[in-house]
Amino acid sequence: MLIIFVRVVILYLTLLLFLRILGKRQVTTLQPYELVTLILFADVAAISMADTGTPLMNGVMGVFALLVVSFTVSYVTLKSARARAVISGRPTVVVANGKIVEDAMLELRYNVNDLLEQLRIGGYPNIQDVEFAVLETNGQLSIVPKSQHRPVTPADLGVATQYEGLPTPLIVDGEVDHRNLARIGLDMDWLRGQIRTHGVDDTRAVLYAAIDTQGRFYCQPRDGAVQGRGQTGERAEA
Amino acid sequence: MTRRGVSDWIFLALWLITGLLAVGEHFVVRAEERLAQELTRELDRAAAALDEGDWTLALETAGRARRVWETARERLALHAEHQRLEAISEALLEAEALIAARSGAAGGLLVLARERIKGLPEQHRLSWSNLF
Repeated sequence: MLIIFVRVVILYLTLLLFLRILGKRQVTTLQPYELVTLILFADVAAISMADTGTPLMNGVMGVFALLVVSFTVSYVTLKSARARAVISGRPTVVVANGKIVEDAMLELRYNVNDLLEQLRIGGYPNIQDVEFAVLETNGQLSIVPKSQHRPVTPADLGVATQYEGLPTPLIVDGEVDHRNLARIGLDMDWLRGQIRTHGVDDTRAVLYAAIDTQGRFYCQPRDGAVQGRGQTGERAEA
Repeated sequence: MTRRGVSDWIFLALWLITGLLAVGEHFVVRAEERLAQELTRELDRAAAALDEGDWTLALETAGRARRVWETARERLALHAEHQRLEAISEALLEAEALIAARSGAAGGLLVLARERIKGLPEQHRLSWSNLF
């Protein structure tokens, strides 16, 4: 039993390391070659995990071989557009100018019901509202609605908006992110002063604190950290 | 190293490791061949001693071959099928036991162990028969 446990731990850490090397896309939208890698990863690792008669190196080598092949394929697709087209295919327009492209549908063996289902999922139950629909290489349908059916944006209304950017987390789960703090030119004294205004003296008593690009400070103390004030998730101008 | 260059470096590193592994595998197979040759010599000597009716020499030689094998087996277990290794160990142990019991069947087991040991490097060689 202990042997299996140690083998599982070793293979798990190996898979995790290799998946991290392969990148974020591996676990979100998948290209065909990425899907193949994931399917095989699981199988190759599982055999070595359970079968103690097989050397552990066989499993590690199998997973390593998959890493090399998968990385090489993604590297080649990165460097060559032609290779990308061969390995991942090309996006196909299935609805053009509001009309279903029958040839493309036949070529893809993509039936009208599947198309309508994807359009409904995309929020367009009526095909007349769709200008273009493109079946991407990862199997997702991208929908471009007709201009009169597009959601209204501030630009359509001529409303000026301010730059929003991303808020910078400063404390996450009681841990101060010193790198972020230094990056925006602030220090611990400033941070302590800010959390004190929220009734907290110790940064470890803060669940989450962040500052946005407008200089507004957000602080949520841990439950019970602020005695008798009941303030959570308040904003303050920095 | 720039972020743009990370992919290039990983790509090169992976293929460099693959190349080193291929070279390593070559040396592993060579080492297995040497071990197989050494053990084959010992087992042939034990078989010859059996033919001459020298049970003491046969027992001594077979025992030495088994000890050499058991030492090498720990290393081999890292990459060879454990079942195959166990089969060789069993054949050697049984042969030794039969020699000790002065049984004529020991000769057959010596031949079996020798052939299994000789087949060990073959299963790790990159060949068509092994691939398919």
